[in-house]
Amino acid sequence: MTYERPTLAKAGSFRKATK
Amino acid sequence: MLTLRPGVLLTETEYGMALLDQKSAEYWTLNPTAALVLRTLLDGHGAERAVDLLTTRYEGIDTARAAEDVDRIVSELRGAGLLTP
Repeated sequence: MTYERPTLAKAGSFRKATK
Repeated sequence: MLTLRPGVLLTETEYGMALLDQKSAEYWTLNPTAALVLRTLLDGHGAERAVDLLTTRYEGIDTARAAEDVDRIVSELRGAGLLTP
């Protein structure tokens, strides 16, 4: 397999749990 | 040994891995090579093992560059607050 440099990407955010 | 910070959930994906940070409400993706490195380190192996796996599974990567990439991705994970200090 061809090597790809390891990457970490911020993909987004989600709403935290808010009765 | 490298561990995820409490509150960070991990799941394997079709393309690498995703991390969900319940504290910051952010989620992150890792490409296949980053996922291989993180999985290896979380399983209790050292950086040398991750370097070995990268150089044996992939073409066009030598030990020096793989070692540099392993160090960098761990630094990025730590900088993002995804690992225990």
